[in-house]
Amino acid sequence: MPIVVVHGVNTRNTEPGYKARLALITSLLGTHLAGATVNGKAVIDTQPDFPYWGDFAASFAWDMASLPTGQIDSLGGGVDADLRPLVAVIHDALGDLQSAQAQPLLTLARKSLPQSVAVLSDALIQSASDHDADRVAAFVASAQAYAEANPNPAWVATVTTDPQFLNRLVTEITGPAPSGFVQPLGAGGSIINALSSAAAKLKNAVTSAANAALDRTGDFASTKFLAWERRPLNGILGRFFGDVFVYLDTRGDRVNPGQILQVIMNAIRQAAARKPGEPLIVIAHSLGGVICFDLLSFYCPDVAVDLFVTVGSQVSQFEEIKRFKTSDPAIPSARRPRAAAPGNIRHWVNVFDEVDIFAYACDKVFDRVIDFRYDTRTYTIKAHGAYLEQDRFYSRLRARIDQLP
Amino acid sequence: MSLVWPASEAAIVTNQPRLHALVVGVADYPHLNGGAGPLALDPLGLSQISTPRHTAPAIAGWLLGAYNNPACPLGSVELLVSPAAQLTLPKAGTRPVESATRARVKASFNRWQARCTTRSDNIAFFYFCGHGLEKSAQFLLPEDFGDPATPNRWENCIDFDGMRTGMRSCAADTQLFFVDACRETPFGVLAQLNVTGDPLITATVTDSVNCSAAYYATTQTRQAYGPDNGVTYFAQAVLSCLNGVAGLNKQGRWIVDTFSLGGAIGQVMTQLARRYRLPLTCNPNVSGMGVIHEAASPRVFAAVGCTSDAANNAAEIVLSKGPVVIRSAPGQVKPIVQEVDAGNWSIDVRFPGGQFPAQPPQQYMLMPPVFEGVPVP
Repeated sequence: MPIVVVHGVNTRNTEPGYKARLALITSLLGTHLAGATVNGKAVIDTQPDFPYWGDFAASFAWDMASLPTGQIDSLGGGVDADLRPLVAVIHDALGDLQSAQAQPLLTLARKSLPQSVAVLSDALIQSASDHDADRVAAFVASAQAYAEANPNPAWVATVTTDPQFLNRLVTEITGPAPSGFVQPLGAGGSIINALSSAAAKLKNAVTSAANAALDRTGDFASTKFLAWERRPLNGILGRFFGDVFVYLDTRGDRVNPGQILQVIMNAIRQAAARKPGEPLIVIAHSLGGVICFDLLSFYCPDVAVDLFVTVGSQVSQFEEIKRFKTSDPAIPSARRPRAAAPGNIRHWVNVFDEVDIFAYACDKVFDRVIDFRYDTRTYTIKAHGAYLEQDRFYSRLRARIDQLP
Repeated sequence: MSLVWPASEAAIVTNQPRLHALVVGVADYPHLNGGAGPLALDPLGLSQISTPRHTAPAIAGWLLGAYNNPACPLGSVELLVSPAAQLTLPKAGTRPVESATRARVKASFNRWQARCTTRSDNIAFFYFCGHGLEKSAQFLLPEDFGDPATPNRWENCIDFDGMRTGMRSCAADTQLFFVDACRETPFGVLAQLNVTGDPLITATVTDSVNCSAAYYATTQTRQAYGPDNGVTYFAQAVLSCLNGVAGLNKQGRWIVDTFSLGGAIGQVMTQLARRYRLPLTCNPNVSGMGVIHEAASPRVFAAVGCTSDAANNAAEIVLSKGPVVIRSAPGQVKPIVQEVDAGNWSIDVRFPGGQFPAQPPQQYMLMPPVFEGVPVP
């Protein structure tokens, strides 16, 4: 397996949709990276390795009981915390939630099918059971590719309800049933049940948010209150800093690297050994990028990585505050204005969305890094987790790879 | 007109015991995905299908051409098939058959029920093939289900459970219902608060029926299947069973009754599941004994294979009975699953590649409903 995908903070394999997310990343990598050439070596095996280090990350003794609750928390209007960012996307796209209450996905699709599919995909993945992960991932990958290729299909104007929209979307993506095969006298194992369930939850959330806003001041249904509402934001930041502190405290030294480093190190070494004829690609999200940089620059400088992709990561931020083992306080200087990218990293692409508050540019801090601005078409908190679940991300990444020397 | 036999209402015998049939097949759903009409407000993931177009005529054809019950001969056959078609049927010849809208199903049902209830020794025979749903009850979907012009989206929907209960008020003491439809609960149905359907008939607490047998093509929450542009697997099983696989030897006659049919359909569906490697199942729900049909001869669903995949792959299996020889060469699909005449069969399992010890041909008595063999590697 020449591709290793390292997750970032806030990732736990007990979260809903964890397996579906991995299946989606696997599917999208297969679609877009197969056949790419890096360092003269072709990517053939696109089945990635996903080293999981969440078990060694931060845990909370009181299960985050310290998060404030009370009046502000209730302003969410009973909207599930996981759905608030999606409600906020709809609000931002349409300007208000009232017009979207009846048919939120269709209303959004009439403005932007890719955005509607993105919201639907997220809602679907959130509720995907493990046994349904592959099917959900396959549908999401297909739906995103379809929406990118057909951002304004005429048929969207001909349907009038969210269920019609979902049925038509499925039909457009899957096409008519092939003739000559077994035919069920029902929905035929279609993804429509999972879609309908996710859409119903979303509609409920939109309705709750819209009505909650009206019930209070008429102006609370804003992105700030839906997406930045204090309790979930505190939770996200709490887990973020918790994982950072745990990593820094436990990373150890070269002789005794910490457990988080060991998990990732083993995965990368095994991947490198497994397919020596293919390029070794490490894709690291968020704190995963920081950990991998630490690992490649200090703990295992002997591992040659053909392509290092940091996504929504804080590598340059950590270098600015000199937290890496190899950080040199004398840099920057007139003679050395930038820190050196590790020599065992042949190519380094750093991806960030300008609205992702956890993502940092690198090319003013490191040499030999290519910064790649990418618009997740979301905002703030949502952007940070959006990159790796978007078909468009991989197609753009592939274009960048094809431009590498 | 949905009456395909006899030629007119006046020709229907009602003063003697008769089997009266209502057969409905719905393949065309204008308001579901891929349909020609305005799309349902929620199509529930349901699309156009082809199997009912072949299944309903096959069932009606069997009734007209093969049904044999001296105590209760065929009395009438009502047939509705969507899309409407010109069909050629035994006894009835070539004639137009109307589509299965709710209004036509209701009208046909009313005529059929009126005939059935004329005598207690009548047999009421109902077969539906098309889309089905289940929530609080089993629902059957006629052609115009989901018409967005009707504010009650369940208006064009038949409540089968209600219908079966309501049929207690019908005098026919043997009532046979075949539900060749799915029994899933789509999320869109689950989310609806007042899902309902037309039971077509009502009954009171004092009404009862001697024998009410319902045969479902699948179990609750599951799907029923059929080969595209072919007869559904359930209907294949039903027809095999009626033709003798469900036969019981009663005083030298091979009688298919309500209980033997239920057991045999279950056995045959299991073998069809093996043959086609599909999750086929069924759900007979039989209360009361009723004689349905006298088969010409006993038939058997034979499933002959070795006990391991390795042996199956290497084996040549030959079944023979007189001039009839059925053969599966090495590498061909095993087990052999086929409906055959009952009686003494020779089963010869050979291993041309020598992978397993040679077995001498064995004689087996194959009897209805199913034979599974043979005990070799």
